[in-house]
Amino acid sequence: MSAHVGLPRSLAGRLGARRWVVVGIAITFLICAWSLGLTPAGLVPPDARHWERTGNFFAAALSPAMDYQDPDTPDDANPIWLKGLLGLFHTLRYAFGAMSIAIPLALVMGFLGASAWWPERRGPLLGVLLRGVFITCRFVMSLARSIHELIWALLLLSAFGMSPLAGMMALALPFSGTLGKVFSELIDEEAREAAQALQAVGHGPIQTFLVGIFPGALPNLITYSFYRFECALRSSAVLGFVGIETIGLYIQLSHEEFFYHEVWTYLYFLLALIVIVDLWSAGIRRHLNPATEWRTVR
Amino acid sequence: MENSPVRTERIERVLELRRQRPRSWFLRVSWLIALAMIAWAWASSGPLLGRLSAERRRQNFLNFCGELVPSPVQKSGNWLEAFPWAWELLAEDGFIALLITVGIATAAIILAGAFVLPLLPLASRQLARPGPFGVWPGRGGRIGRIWWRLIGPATRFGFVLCRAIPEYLIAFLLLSLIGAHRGTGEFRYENAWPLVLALAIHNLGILGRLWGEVVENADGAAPTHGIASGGSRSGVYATRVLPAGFNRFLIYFFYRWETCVKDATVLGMLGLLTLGKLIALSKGFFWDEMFFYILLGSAVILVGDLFSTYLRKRLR
Amino acid sequence: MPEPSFDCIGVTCRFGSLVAVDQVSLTIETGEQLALIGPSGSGKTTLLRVLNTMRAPDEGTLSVFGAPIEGNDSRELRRLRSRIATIPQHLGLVPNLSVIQNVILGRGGRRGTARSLRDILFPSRSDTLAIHEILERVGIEEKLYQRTAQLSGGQQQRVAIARALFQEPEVLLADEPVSAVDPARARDTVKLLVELAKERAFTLCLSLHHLELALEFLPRLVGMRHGAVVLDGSPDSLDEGELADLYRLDQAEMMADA
Repeated sequence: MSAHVGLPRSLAGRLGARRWVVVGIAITFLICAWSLGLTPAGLVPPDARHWERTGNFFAAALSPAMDYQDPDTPDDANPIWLKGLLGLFHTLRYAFGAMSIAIPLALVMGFLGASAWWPERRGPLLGVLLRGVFITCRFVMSLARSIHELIWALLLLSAFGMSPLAGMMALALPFSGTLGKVFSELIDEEAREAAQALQAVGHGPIQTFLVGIFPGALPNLITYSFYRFECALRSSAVLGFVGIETIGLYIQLSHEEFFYHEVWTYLYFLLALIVIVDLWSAGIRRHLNPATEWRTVR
Repeated sequence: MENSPVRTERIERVLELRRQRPRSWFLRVSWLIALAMIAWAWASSGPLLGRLSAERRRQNFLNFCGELVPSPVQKSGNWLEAFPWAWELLAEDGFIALLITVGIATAAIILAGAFVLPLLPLASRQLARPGPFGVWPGRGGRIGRIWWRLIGPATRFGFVLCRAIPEYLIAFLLLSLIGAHRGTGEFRYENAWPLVLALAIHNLGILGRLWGEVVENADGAAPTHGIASGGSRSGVYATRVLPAGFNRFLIYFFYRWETCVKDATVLGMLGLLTLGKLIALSKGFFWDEMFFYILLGSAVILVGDLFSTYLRKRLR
Repeated sequence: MPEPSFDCIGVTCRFGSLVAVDQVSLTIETGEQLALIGPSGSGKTTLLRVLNTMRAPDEGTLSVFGAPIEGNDSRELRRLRSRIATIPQHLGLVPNLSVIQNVILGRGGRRGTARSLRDILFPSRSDTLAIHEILERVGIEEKLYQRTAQLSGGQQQRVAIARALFQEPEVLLADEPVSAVDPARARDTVKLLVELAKERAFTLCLSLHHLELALEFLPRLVGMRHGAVVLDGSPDSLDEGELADLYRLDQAEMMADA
């Protein structure tokens, strides 16, 4: 039905200067691959033992455990599906707790790290003060962001000992950095016009922020917070690898004993949770922005 | 002020409008669930601060902070001694681990991007359908129609799966399957593939989502024109959609690169190659060295962050 | 004789080396309706911002409501601005707030922060009724509780006008209120604004680049070109040649655009 247009003869001509970016990226990849010693041989299991393991592992995907594989499991232990659910609950607990700290913290930091609410005419002293606060906040947020949750967990657990709060803070600190940065960017970019219009009729700076900027940025703030919550779930699962009791811990323990069927059970539980949260988050996005919903082109 | 009968009418009209206004029960229920879960999270956590007494905790904390100080400084109290100590750490293992970390992150994100690009049109709601951009597809081709109805949701779901599994988990599993080492004897080296693959798979899903949004929100006029003049989906994708979204693609690409560096650092804690390996090794014995490596990784990411911000301004 | 709403003497504004407003001397009396006309880039928007005290002139003086603004601190400026309503070119509405919430913000300049917050969350009954009345006047009364983002461009413009009316201003400044709408709607909007200005006795200053609309509805036209005022008078007294000159592109401009 349709004639095949295909790529024009000169892709370079079409891409223009961008072709150099693409070429640069290709070259970078080759350099990295060469210096890291990435060879096709590195992709496949190296010996019979590993091949067997791989085979077992992927075969187990089709038959996740309905029962514990360890023959020494006590008889009154929870059935595995219940343990999986409990693991999910622990994971959710840390994620919700962390977000409930991170969001308020990020709102404050995001506000201080934004410049859209600064009064248009301000004296030099106020200007310097605002700028100083702005730069400090951005720096602190960047610093918090640059340290991975697992490393925060290491530090906090070593410093304060094992406690639920330490686990939650390990997630909350870097996340408030990311959230705060996105918040400040949303505030600065999305709301300038409304802010100017309100200041033009006499609103003061804080007033403009509270009634003009913040409500305007709110849908995007909420959408992004949901996305971050999904990330928090994943990170919370991974915290299991440093000893905090979430579903990641169960996966690691089962894996050590080569109980691959159990591993897949827990994996499926985790996947199901994340897919559900992903759908929920997509729903939130649709309901928050009904006007910008994708419309059928007809 | 209006007179009474008009006012009463107006009040009634306003109340009627109020009744009719759009309400979203979905949002309300979601809000309630979220609040309930937060309350439950805090209430069910048991002793929030753990089982140690406040005094023990304070002592532990102060001890720990003391351990973080570089060991030559601990002994002599002179902060200048930190510099040669730091330099030695860098020269021995630190710098190489840093390069490896960045290398792994870069290789992974490039791989992810390379594989996402051809898959992206299959995930686009406008392109992956019997009649792209709402165009009449013509008669017949029952199999083709089924294919186009299924491939879109399938690809999108594939992306969801890829990003649903934490990269740390993928790396952990791949390590045991592919093995951490290659070569024998003198030529034995650590295999970077588990880490690179883990990051690449995870970011495949994420780039699929981020770049997918750019494609969905893009202006449909130029691609529709491409179809109107007889183009195919791939032709239209390559020549109109991609160039238009190129800048935003780059922005997301570098944003994910930055995150990959952070993740690559930590993946080393599985025992190989990157700064994470050094961190895991020195944990428990040399807290000061561990702290140095943590800050080193952090510094690289901060630089990457500045670069990213600069790039975004130029690409807007 | 009431004080003039605005009195500019030699106002000049620069952006770096670009002179956006060039030695403009203009007096706008209370209750006047005038149109600022001229091609894009002629300095209309900047001049409106100066009149609203959003930007201080680099040279020259401006008096608003009879008093010079030089010495005013920010509090006094806010009070001044709450007496002047503006309709910016891109409307400056908050898209995900409802119509009533956007309109009620019109009085935010006179009310404090706490009251504004309360207005958004729990608008008072008298405010709600007054806003409904205004929306009726501009023709969108059924949209009272609708989310602003879901309205069409023309309807959003009405919301912006309603917000300006709710402010009960002494002056209304509108920046290109009709550039993005079709000719029929444009005519309705300008007609509405002029009617409202007469009904509610406020000074009206619109910037337009539709010459025909300006000639049809407004009793005074001020033409700007490259930042300077080049003509000023009523439609009858203006020469056709002058008006044509306003929009003519000279050689240099045409070459520059190419």
